[in-house]
Amino acid sequence: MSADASTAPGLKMPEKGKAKAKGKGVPIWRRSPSLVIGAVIVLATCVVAAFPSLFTSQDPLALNPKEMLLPPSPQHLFGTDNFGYDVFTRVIYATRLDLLIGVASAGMPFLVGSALGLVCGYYGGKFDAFMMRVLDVFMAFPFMVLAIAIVAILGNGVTNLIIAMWVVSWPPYTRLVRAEVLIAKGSEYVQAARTLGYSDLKIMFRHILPNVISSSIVYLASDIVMCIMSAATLSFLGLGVPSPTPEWGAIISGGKGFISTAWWISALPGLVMVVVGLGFSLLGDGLNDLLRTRD
Amino acid sequence: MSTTANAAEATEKNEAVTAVPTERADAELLEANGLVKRFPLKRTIFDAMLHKERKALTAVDDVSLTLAQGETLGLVGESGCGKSTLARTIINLYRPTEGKVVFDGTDLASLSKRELRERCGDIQMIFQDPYSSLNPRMTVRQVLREVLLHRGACERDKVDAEVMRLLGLVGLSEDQADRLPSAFSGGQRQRIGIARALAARPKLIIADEPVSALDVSIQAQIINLLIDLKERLDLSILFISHDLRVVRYISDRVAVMYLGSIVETATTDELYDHPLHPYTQTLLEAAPSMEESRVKETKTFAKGELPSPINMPSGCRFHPRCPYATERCKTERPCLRDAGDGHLVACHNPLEG
Repeated sequence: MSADASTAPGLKMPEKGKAKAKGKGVPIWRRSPSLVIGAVIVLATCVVAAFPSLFTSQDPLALNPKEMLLPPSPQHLFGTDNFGYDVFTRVIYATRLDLLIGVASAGMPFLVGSALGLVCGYYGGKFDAFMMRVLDVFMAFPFMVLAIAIVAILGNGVTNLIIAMWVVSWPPYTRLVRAEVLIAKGSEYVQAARTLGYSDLKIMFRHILPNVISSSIVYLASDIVMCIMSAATLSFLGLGVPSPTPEWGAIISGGKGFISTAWWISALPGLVMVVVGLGFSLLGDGLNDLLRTRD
Repeated sequence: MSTTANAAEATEKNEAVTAVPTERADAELLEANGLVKRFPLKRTIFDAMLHKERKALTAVDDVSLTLAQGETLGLVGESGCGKSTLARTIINLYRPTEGKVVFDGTDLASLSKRELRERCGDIQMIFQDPYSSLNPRMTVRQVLREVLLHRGACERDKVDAEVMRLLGLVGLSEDQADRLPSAFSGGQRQRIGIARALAARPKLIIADEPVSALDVSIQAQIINLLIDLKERLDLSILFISHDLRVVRYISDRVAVMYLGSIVETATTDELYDHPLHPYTQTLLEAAPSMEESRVKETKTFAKGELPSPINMPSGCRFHPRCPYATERCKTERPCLRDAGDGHLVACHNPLEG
């Protein structure tokens, strides 16, 4: 599935170039099919997150000891787990929390990391050198190990989980933006802006930022997936969302003891995560096509 | 001229040089005095431990030049001789290491950052690469509006009319105003660059190789546009190029640059007809010509490559390549001196005019 996703935009490339040469009026699904597919999946996820009760009539927290470990059926699309919870209902209700975790934990590093990269790249000098060493320290730790350490210090809970994500995921944004700023800073349009006497802020935000932010936005889309996955991983390890709150990682984790007898408890929520992740990745890919400077 | 010269003669020559700018100082729009721009090079940790001196690249080496109101000064020299660095130092993109730039009676180095910003528009630059000199995400209208509003060149409600007027000036049509730079060809982009410079209402335009990235057929259009605009808007132009034919066509006066210094300055016809510096002669002879036979006498051609600006030759910077170099050239650096009628040359043994 993921192989299809990576080759599809590549195959469409020549056609897209030709279409652009012809000018406007080319429908967006022809210019970037991955953007459309990604956007549809992400949008659907958002709808599910906003109105979970539209998609299931059951209660995610309703214990039903009579219906334990039932395989998927029309009544229980994803089957039931060892407590008799309806897995499908729990997956639906978990969407809001997981999406929130993904967006919240990737959004702040995107803003702060990008701004820091802009300032470091533009001004350079001692502040830049210092920040880059700080960044090296953060990047030297394996992502997961650092996140686990932070959650272990702060304690379990959604807020602490998000804070841990903030701490570990800003460096790539800074790196990305800083590198692009260094290139843009030397370009003649920035020199022209300087000779016109524009202020540093104006040059940074109006002339440099729009030309450097696209890679950061693309990274944001895939980072949301990363954050959802990491949050699920932490929950899987018992460090994230306390049970019985429905959360994808926790649901998958709950099924691990029954994987040989009741595979659906772990596998089907896992599949949902893959689809949502794919949606964000495709969206990022499509944004990349769309935001790239058309030269 | 004879090759023997004594010390007294040398001091006399030095005096002659300093006298020249002061005589005409009041008519000058731009005056650069002893400009030096050095870029310090990175020192390895071993060099630092050995207390070796930090090396520097001298891109502009003691350049003095003047530009009168309404004049077009051509600046020629081979690639890497510091032409662009000189331009960027004049316009204050680089801070000069030494020396000063006096523009319209004001020493630019004496201004505060804020004052400098306000005066920035007086000198504008047209850049070499029309593909990187325009912000790829701003339409022509946005670019011009931004300059006009920033400079306060006109009232808010008249900005759009002014944008259209500028587009007309540089030969672009009004319906092109809302396009992004990617929709334009190199020549058109250069026109947008010119319009952007003009929007700031400059007195001086520094054109840094404005046509060298363009096709020859487009070059002529852009050059003629510049000449036309100069007449209409009473501009002065510092025109930088390595193309001698283009410089001859547009310039009133020409300065020849070699390895960071100016070696000869004269009115265009004088310089092209009677070059006094061996380097100028080399440049002129090396330029391909349509009329003459391509096979020329090569005896005066300079030998070798441009030396490194990190390890400058002693004495005259040109002596390692000069066919007429003498012992004196290796030790004593010649100053610019007047060889008559404002024809300045920095050579111990200038050629016969």
